[in-house]
Order: sequence, then structure tokens, then C-alpha cells
Amino acid sequence: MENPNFDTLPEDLQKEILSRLPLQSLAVCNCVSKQWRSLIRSNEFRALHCSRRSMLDDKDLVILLFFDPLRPRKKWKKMEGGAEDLSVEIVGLLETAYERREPMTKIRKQLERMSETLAEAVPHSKYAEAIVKGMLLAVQRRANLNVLLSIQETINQVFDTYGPILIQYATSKTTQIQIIESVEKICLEPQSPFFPVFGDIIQTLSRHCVNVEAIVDWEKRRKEARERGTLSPQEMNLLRNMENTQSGPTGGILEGFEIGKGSQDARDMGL
Amino acid sequence: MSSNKIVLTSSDGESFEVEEVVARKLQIVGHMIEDDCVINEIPLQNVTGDILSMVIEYCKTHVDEEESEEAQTKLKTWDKEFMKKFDLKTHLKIILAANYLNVKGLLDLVSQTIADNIKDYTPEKIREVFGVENDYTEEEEAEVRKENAWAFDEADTPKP
Repeated sequence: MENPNFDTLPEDLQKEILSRLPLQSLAVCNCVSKQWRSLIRSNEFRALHCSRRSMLDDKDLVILLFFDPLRPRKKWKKMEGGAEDLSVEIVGLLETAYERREPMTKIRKQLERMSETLAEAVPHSKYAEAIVKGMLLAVQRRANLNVLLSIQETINQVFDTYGPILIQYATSKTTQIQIIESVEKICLEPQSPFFPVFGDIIQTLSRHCVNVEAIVDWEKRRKEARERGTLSPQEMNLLRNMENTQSGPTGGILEGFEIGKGSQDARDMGL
Repeated sequence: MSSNKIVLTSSDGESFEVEEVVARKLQIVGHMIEDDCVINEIPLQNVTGDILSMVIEYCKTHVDEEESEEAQTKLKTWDKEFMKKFDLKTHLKIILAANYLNVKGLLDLVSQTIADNIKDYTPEKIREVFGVENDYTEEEEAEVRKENAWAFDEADTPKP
């Protein structure tokens, strides 16, 4: 052949070359032509690409979960129901990177960018809940990993990591209240290890992404509900628990909150 | 090892006399030797002399692959330097030849080299260097770009 170009190569050889590209480059290659895209998205290519990689790194896994360039986008657009668990899974991946003492900055940047696209497919409230769930999972994992840190310190650390992602979603008061409600919901789950640290978490949230106004608003509505007697026994417990840990006479999560108490309880519960 | 010599002839009539062990690295030749016991001259229809000489150079270097780490590192460096000597057009010719002559190591090497070279290219650049025809309509292209937008952000910023 005098002057071969890519199009005239046998398909096997085209695959031979493209299957050696990283996922991100394949996404770019999808845009080259229809022929390239259908080649990249064929099952055969997918299998070949997988066989070339003995181990995917965390970044690749994040890409595969959200942006798999080897598959049509529709696939993950349909995942709405599972998107929440997916976010939890993502946080799990990032935590694995953390446990391996890998630099998180790059992966986190990727995640932040991805979260924008994810927002197209998932309802806002659900996404906030997913991220909160993932963050609490991260607290749990780190608490198990590093017993030298107090729960409060662990919460701070985790919120420092994921706070920026949450901020993107906590732009309105409604979303902020949704975040608080998500935390509440998780803390109220039977035997939740977060039950005693609910106050700590809300307080940390207030420093990172939820403004005080939203918390006061949430508290007000809770108190009203209590007066009306529409709170469930668990919710009553939670409120009572929070009030017990507060030293100030006027109450409120943010006022005179005693940090140590909740954390000690959580330790006792084996968190 | 036998020091039997074999003559390989390219499609444009160029002849190369190589040792049998080297010729056997070309699996197509290896199979021919096994099928008919004695062959002295082998015509290779689908490869020109200039490319065949490159393939032979690769095979000569890889003829006795030592296991030691040092030898492996040395070979890898040689591979890299060897590939650097050629441009993309030649790489594409080599991949066709490596496929036809069935030289697995060279096929892997040249495929990886091409992939590494285009790894950070934009779609426009890929089309240009590979002569790929863009069969997307304007709307389709905008859509597929949007779908894969996440991959572009980072491609635009220079990698450390």
C-alpha cells in the first residue's frame, strides 16, 4: 500500500491502536467521526479495551461510572433511580484513594466537573441526599481508619474534602433545607451511628455550605411540628438528644453547642 | 541454533539475507519453514523493501530476548528510539507489515506508539493527521461534543 491512512487500515488494526488509548482520549475520539464512534462503542472493542488494562485507577473508575465513552450516553441518563447509590459509590472510590494516601486533588477536580453533568440527569434534592449520604459514609470509613482523630475532627476533614461539591447544590434555601433533611433522615435510620453526632454534622455544614438562616428555619419548623404533635418518636428523640447536648438556655443547634459530648457518644457506639 | 541463512524478498524485489532465527521472528516465515522443511528464498508479497528492512532490524534486535531486568530495560529504550525515527505514515506502514508478517512484539510496539502520539490530539487534529472524513452533520457533531465535553476541559490544559 502506497500511502495508508487510518480509514484504510483493516478494522482489527484500527481497534489495535484505539484500544490502547486512555478513556479520556476515547471520549475525544468519539467526536472524530461516526465510524470511529461506532467502532469505539462496539462490544468487541469494549472487551479488547478491558483486556488491555490490568487495573483501572480511581480516576478511570469515576469516568466509567459517569461518562463511559465506550457506551452510549443514554445508558446512564436512564439510571436516575440508581444515581443516588452511584454518588455513594463515587465517594467510596475517593475514600479508597484517601486510604491509600493518594493525592485527592485531581480526582476531586474531576468529580466536581462531573457533578455538573450529573445534575442534568438527577433531581436536585436526590443528588444532595446522595452526596450527604456519601459524606457520612466517608466519615464512617475514616473514623474506622484513624482512631486518633475525634469524630468532630473526622467530620471536619471529610467536609473539607466534599464541601466544595455540596456547595454547588446548596445555592438556594430550599436545597439547603433539603440537605439538612437528608442528614436528619440518615441520622434517624434505626441504629444509625450518626444519631449522636447529628448536631456536630449540622454545625459543620453551617461552616461549609449551609447558611445559618436555613438551619434556623429548619429548627423553627421542627419545633412547630413538635408543638402540633406531628413528630414521630424518633424525631422527638433526636430533638431531645440535641437539646441535651446544648448548654445555652435558648437552645438552637448553633448556639453554645458542646462539641465533645456527641463525639464521645459516637465512639461509644463503635463508630 | 542453526545458522542457516534465508533470503526474504520484498514486493518490489529487494532481497535480504538473514539468519533463520531472525526470519523465524516473522511468524509467517516460521510457519512456512515448519510446513515445508527446506526453504531458502521466501517472497513476501505485501511488504516493500524499505519497510521490510525496518522489520528485520526490529527482529534482529529482539532475536534473543533475555529475561533479566537490565536487558529488558535496554530493549525498551531501543524500541522507543527505534520508533522515534519514523513519522506517522511510516508507523501505519509498519503496522500493516507487522500484521501481515505476524510479528506480535512489533505490532504491539507500533500500535502503542501511534496511540501515545494521538492521545492528546483534538478531533480536528486526528482527522487531519489520519485523513479521516468527518461524517457528522453540524448538529450531530455539536451533540456528540456536548456528550463528551468533560474530556475536553482537561485536554485543553497542558498536562504536567
